[in-house]
Amino acid sequence: MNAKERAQRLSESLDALLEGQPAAARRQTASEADPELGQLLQTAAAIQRLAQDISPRAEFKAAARARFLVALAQRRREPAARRWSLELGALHPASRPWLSAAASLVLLLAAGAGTVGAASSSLPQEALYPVKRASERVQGFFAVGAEPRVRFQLRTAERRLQELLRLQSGGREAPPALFADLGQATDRAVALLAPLAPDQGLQIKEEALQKLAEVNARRQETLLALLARAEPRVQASLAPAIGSGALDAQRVNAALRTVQETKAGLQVSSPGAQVQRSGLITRHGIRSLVAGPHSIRFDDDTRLEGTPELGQVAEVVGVVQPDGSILASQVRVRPPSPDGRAGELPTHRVRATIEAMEPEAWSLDGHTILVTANTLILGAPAVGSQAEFLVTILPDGRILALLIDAAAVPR
Amino acid sequence: MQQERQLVERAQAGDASAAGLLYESYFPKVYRYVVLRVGEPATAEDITEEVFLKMLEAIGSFRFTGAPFSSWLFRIAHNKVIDHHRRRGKGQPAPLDEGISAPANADPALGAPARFHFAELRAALQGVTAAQQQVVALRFAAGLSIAETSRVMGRSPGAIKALQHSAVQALRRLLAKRGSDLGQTEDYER
Repeated sequence: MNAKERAQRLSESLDALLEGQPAAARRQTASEADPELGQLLQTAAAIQRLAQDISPRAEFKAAARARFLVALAQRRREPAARRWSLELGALHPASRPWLSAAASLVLLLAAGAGTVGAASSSLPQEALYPVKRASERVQGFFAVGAEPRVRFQLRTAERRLQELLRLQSGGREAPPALFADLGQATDRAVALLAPLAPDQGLQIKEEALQKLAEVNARRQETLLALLARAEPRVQASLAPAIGSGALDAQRVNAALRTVQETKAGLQVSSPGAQVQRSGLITRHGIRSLVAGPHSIRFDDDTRLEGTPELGQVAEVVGVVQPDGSILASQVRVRPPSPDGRAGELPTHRVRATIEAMEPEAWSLDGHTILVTANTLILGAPAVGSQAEFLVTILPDGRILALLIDAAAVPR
Repeated sequence: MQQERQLVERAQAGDASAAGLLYESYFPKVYRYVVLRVGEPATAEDITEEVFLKMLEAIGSFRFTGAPFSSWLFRIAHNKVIDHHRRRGKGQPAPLDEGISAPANADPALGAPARFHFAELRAALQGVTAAQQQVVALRFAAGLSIAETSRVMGRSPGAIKALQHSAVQALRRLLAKRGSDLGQTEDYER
């Protein structure tokens, strides 16, 4: 059987498979008595079965469907109230995240454009402030894609900061929730930037991080100004916000520094150059890893010493590729140095209250930290208790716990 | 086919329920196609949404001139995938195995063994041409017929069959080279 005939037979057998008739496909191949065709069908069938098993996350499915329906409704130009009653009724009850945004939209439609406009300049604890926040939720809901979402979080952080500044200039006390919201917007922007590999989307990352750094600097200035003139009671309540702001600033600045170093590195390392690089592993796959600001690729000739894992340090020798990544000839994996340095990244020792313990991400005083198999845990940390954390800030701004010491803090 | 044509025509006339049915019918197929092309589930989610928003925007301009609706829709999906690669600045497909160890990026709809095989498949796909990746994604993930695939890719049905054959051959070889058991044994009957 020549290649053309084999391609034809394979296609026919595959059609039978895709139509849900595996037995027919098998019979067809068997009747040809061509072992190679049989093997190809095995591979094709396995790929097809695997691909058919992929399905979108239920949460995404629900949210995407809601957004689609909203887009559809906007095109139909029907009276808003009827549109919404029809579509909200039709959707699955499991779709909580978008439901709140949809409810916000209904609230905004009811409030009217004039009210929403007036609400945009409102401050916390004023009557129209909930309308302003509802309007923001709707805007956030419609921000689809990494870039629009980052821009949305930046605008949110900027708005919260403006509110803080206006409260300060009016001599009014800012509610603690405002500080938390400000930190949350920074957190979310950093988290959205994280999935972009260091050598990708550099311009977007740099611009977003510069803006965040600016917002953080003004936030800290404002908080310090408030602290200077506050009564002792208020000073005590401002301290956590200032500490949290300092950590946010460190994260953003570290991520910004990495992006700028990567840019500089990409400019000086020409393709074909043999280089030696090292860095903390922040991401890894079967044939690639990200170590510090470097994207590393492997091939069959790569000599690998140790198993790459998140939080370990990779020392790499390789050749710079046209896309800026490094094709490694040798990768040595080692644990981070025990002397308080994780690869090239500085570490920080912090004491914090544990708010949530998910398998790989814990919440501490409003911050999310990564806890991996490499994180050394001493004592018995629990939700609600305090512990001491040795953390490092990864180049993408995420916080990685190297050590968690629950025994260091008396209960 | 006739039923789909009616749905498309109703959607073009502004019938929201028809548009909704088209969405429901194609959403999982488009997602599977995109995830196999870009590798990262989070990116695939964004692109899938963009495909359907574009579908809504452009459905009025679709005409039945022999090509099925699915070819038109997957052409949009293909263009969105290409736009995504361009936006990444290098005009090259994303590294398909990146992020597989990150829980936030892993496809939660797959169990651990399937996820492992999926990572192997994504890695093997890096070793085949863009056209071969495209044909694998359209045929196996989206479930398009040879005729539909041929319309999306702008090649003859014979060329698609040849491409499919060479893609499966290459993937079998690459998977075996990686020591993967995916598709190496006779287990294709569910």
